[in-house]
Amino acid sequence: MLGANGAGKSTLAKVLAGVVRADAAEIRLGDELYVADTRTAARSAGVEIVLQELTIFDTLTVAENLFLDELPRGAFGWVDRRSLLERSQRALDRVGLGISPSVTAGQLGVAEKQLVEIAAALERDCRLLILDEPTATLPADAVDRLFRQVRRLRRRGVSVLLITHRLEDVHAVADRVTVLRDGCVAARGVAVEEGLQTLERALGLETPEGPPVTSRRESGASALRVERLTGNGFVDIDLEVAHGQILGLGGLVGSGRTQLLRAIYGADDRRGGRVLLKGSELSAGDVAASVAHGMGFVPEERQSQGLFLDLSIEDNLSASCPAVRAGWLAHLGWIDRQKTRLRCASTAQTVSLVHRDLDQTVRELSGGNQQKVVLARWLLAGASVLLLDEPSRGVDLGARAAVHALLRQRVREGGAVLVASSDSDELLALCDTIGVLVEGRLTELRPASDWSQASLLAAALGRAA
Amino acid sequence: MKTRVQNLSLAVVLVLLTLAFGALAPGFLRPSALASMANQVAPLIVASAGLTLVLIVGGIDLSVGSVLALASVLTGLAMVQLELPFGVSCLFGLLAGSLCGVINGAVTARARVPSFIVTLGMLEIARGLAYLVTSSQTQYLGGRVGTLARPLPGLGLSPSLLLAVAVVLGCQTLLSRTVFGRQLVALGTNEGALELVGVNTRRLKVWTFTLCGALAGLAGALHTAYLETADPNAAVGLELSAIAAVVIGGTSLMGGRGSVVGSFLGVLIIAVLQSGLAQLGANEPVKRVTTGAVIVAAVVLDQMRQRRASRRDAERSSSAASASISSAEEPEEALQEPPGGEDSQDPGRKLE
Repeated sequence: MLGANGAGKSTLAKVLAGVVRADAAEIRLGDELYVADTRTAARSAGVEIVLQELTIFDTLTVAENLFLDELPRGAFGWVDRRSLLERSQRALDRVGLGISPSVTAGQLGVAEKQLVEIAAALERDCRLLILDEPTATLPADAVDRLFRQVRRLRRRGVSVLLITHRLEDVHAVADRVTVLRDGCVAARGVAVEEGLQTLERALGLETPEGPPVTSRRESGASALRVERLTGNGFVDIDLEVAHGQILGLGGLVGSGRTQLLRAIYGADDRRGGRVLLKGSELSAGDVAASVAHGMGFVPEERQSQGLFLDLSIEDNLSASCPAVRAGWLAHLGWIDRQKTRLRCASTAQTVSLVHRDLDQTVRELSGGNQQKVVLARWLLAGASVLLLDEPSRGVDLGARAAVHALLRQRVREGGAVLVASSDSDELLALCDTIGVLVEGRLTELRPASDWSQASLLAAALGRAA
Repeated sequence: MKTRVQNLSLAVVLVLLTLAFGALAPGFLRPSALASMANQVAPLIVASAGLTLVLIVGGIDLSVGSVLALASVLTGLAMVQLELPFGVSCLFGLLAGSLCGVINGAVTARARVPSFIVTLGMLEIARGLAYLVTSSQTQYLGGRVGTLARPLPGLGLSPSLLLAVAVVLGCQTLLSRTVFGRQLVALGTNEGALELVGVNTRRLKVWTFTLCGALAGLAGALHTAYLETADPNAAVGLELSAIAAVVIGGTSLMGGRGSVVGSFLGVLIIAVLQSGLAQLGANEPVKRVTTGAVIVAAVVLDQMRQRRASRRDAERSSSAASASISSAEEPEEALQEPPGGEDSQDPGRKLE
């Protein structure tokens, strides 16, 4: 199933799996009428779902997460730990996740948690398996393994409904395609090629990647300089981003990209090395200083780290912006409401945010527009050096193109951008220069034109390109 | 905007409640009776204002009652032992309150201990200190301290109450019109995100608890003036009344949402309820049962109203979205409540 963010794919999937109740429905599963009032009812009818948002219990072990609703019982109703661990190990092997089932789930990264959820769903007997954007966070080898499992299920007669934004996924496993647009079916169960054409029309895009890479500005002055930076998960990183440059960081999930960006920004401590922003050295672990020097950070987990979900768009936009203080009371932190509103409104327009008004809570926005809010916050604050971690995760192609265009615009105005992404398409389309992190070490930085999908993947896997 | 609607409905409830008691109990609506009722709760109003700020950042302060008592006895001690005038002596109380607040905030923020535990400890510590410095004796201070609490001629309201109202307005302005205030709300919503925006959240927390402590100290001065005594037994359990008032006023115990004006109205609602029931001849047990029921009912109603409002917002934005095309907004996962299945869960949604 394809469609833009906000087309209703996730909601429809949740209705089918009994997570959300339909206003009105007549659903048939096979030949029988199927009523999915609760997730339990859906499960007993043989419908299983892997939700887009993680539903992992951080304080339980991986094994307990896998079999929470049907823990194997031993004598006196005790949990049979041995059989639990054995079954968990089998489930983890199936998705190729090399962790111990007795590890606490909170220690896992996002991709690993996603794989645990997929493993749990694969363990259950079902007639219909719904996967809501399972590949967004997964590294390429894990996606391959997932699709092998999907094909295995298909051979066993299980139907799989795969929701995705990635066209590679469609080509890899889909038999038929359904396209949603604004909550309606635009194409139902058509052949793959026809579905993709419908999707392009639905997105209003001729070329989903947007305009080709802009003219590069050669060797501007250094905006951000990182020297021999070492910290938790990365070693001896040297890199430099010039004004007018977009530098991309590739690599597998877990290769240290997120930790590196956080350490540069000052959100995490570092063990050694220096970070220079426009020539002045930043002290370790001081986000406020980074922000004051014009750095901005768009974190990977948008909802939990980037946004105040229950606050208004205006509050979210102005969260980092000291410039909205005004008048003779400015030093007391007095807010000039009118000016704040005007600025927020014009920034929202710049990023073409789809919203009702500035008082709307950010929770109500779709993933793509939430990402625009996080980015717009830094545009409003006038940040000239932007760090972005997986900027298009859970964002539809239209919003992704818009985010890319905004970044290019920022760079043309003399900004500098450092992007970490698992998506090699994104790196190749957006960046001037790309480096790959392999187990915390940075490979040689090369111009984007010297890289290809294949060489990026090879480098990420640690093979010579 | 939303808080304005909420405060308005609280005011309506307050007026209706007052009129209802007026109809049942003759004399309840006499201006002097209403004024003396209001004068009596000035300390609670001040303490609730500070507590509101703490609840908004997602903390709690159980020590306000004890800190109030400590401030009260230190004020009395300064007057009796050092023979200082009342106004100067109050500074001792304020200082002690602020100090307790700094300690509450610093331990909460630095050691990352839940504020419930830290302030539970402070509840005992401050109360114990109040007994220690007075040898558990109540000190009568005489009429010279009472000026603050006596009704102003012609107005009926005491300077204490006017001061309390000024504190409420001040705190509300701080909350809604300053960067500090907006950061408090943001802190209560998502601490991690606020840190990543470059705000020192620990310092923010320490300031919040300090402000709450200082206001408890001020409440101590008002309490001393009202009773004309410095009493180490003062205001036992006041923290619970304050929490009740703040919660009735629409502030969330989970942080991120609240109004100081709402808390003020909450205090008045509780006061009207208690003195109205007393006038009707209800005894203490009946008063407590009723007050307890009202607290729970108020919060249940508030929750229902909130849920309705967010559903309405969802409908509005989805109908707005159907007009636009490619990046059309639909309130995806966020707004639908999962239909209560035990294994369906929505991690984005706070359960309140």
